[in-house]
Amino acid sequence: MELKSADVLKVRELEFPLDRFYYRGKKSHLWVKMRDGITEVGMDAFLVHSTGYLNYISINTGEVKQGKGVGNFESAKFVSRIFSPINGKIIEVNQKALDNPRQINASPYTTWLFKIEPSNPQELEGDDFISSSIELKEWIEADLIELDGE
Amino acid sequence: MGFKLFNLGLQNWKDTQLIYHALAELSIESLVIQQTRENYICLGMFNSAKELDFDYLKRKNIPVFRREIGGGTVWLDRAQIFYHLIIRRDNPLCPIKNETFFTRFLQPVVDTYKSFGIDASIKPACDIVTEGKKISGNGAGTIEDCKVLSGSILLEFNPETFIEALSFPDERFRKAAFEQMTSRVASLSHFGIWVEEQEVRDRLIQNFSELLGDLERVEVDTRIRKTMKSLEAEKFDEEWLLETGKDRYWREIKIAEECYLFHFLRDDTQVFGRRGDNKLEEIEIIHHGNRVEKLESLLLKEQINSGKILNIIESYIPHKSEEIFRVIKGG
Repeated sequence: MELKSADVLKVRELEFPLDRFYYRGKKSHLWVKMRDGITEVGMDAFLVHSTGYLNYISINTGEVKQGKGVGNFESAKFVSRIFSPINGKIIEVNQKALDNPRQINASPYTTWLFKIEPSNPQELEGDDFISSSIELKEWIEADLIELDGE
Repeated sequence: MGFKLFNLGLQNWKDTQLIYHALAELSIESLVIQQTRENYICLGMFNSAKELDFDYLKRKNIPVFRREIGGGTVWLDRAQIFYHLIIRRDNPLCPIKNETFFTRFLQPVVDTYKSFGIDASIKPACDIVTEGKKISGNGAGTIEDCKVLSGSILLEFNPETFIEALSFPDERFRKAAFEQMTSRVASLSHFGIWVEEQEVRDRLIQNFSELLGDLERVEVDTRIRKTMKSLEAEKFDEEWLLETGKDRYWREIKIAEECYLFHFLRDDTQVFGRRGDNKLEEIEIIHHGNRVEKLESLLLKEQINSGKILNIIESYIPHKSEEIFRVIKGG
């Protein structure tokens, strides 16, 4: 795994800290960071950029399965699903972010959404996770090109 | 495989909602065109149930549903033609950006209005408007592997019962909501257009098929019925209906894009106002029993996103400035 540096990858105006992993399963754009055996999950800059101002967020608690819905967020009359990046149990939800979702617009990488106690941390090595800065750059650029084409 | 067409005509109110949820669950890319037999109210996924006067709804026997997609609380009745588009998220036609999703898939609806001589256009995020009036409200969301658009063409519109069914902090707010809704929302009949329902359905289908390709006309089969049945238990669960929404510490009602009414009351402070396009159009602030007219007039001069609003409130009502600022800003 290469993504352990304190550097930040910049793709156009979007920033992606390299101290965490990025989940792209189910066309998600979530960041995932391991801290003392617990996984913090948040939204990455591409998701925030393509979504716009967040109005509401809800997150369920309890057991979660990778790729299954764990919550929703609404922006401009569109409700989008949040999918769990890994199997495990949601042990904490960031109530401050849920009460004021625009905190995520302002600061996506310091505002985690929920914490999962993973049942198998090795899952972070799966194909749904970006495991190198080169791959991360290619992924973001491809999605930005798709966005431009719209 | 192309899109399926479910041209369902009149349906019972429950099925009008369950059908598109079920089609999305089953990943059946489709267009649904239908009407409801009974009047009902539909909450968006995040609308607080406290927006509704349940005593009134019970007295009038008006049911309520909470959909899994976005948009505000709406009144639904027979004088509306519903359209629901279900498209897989990985379909190349399905954009990443929600804004593009609305502009792309509302175009057939805009074209339908235009075919009746109405100069309709999309007002972002998802209203369709003409002559400054909202003529169609829409919402969308992700259900399983699909994105769903839901909206209606209003043949006629009378907000009286809807406004009665909503819960308001006071009668003045109710009256303002009625006046704004009457002046800012319009139906085909408002423009003197009386058309056969079949004609509206046909034109919608024609315009959607130009975007989606040939639509295969199909019936609701056993598998779909079964999924609707299984969703029924979940969607009519009291907890889903009453507790899924998010309560705010203020009351806000969206009349149309760029027309929101809001009301905030806490301790000795009351704020009532109307927010337009990044600007307050009306505001009344009562603090310690007195109008704070100087503050009101300063706020009316400012753009909401100017960054000055919070400072202005702070200089008059410092202990509640953050709360009032959020009410004014909305969201």
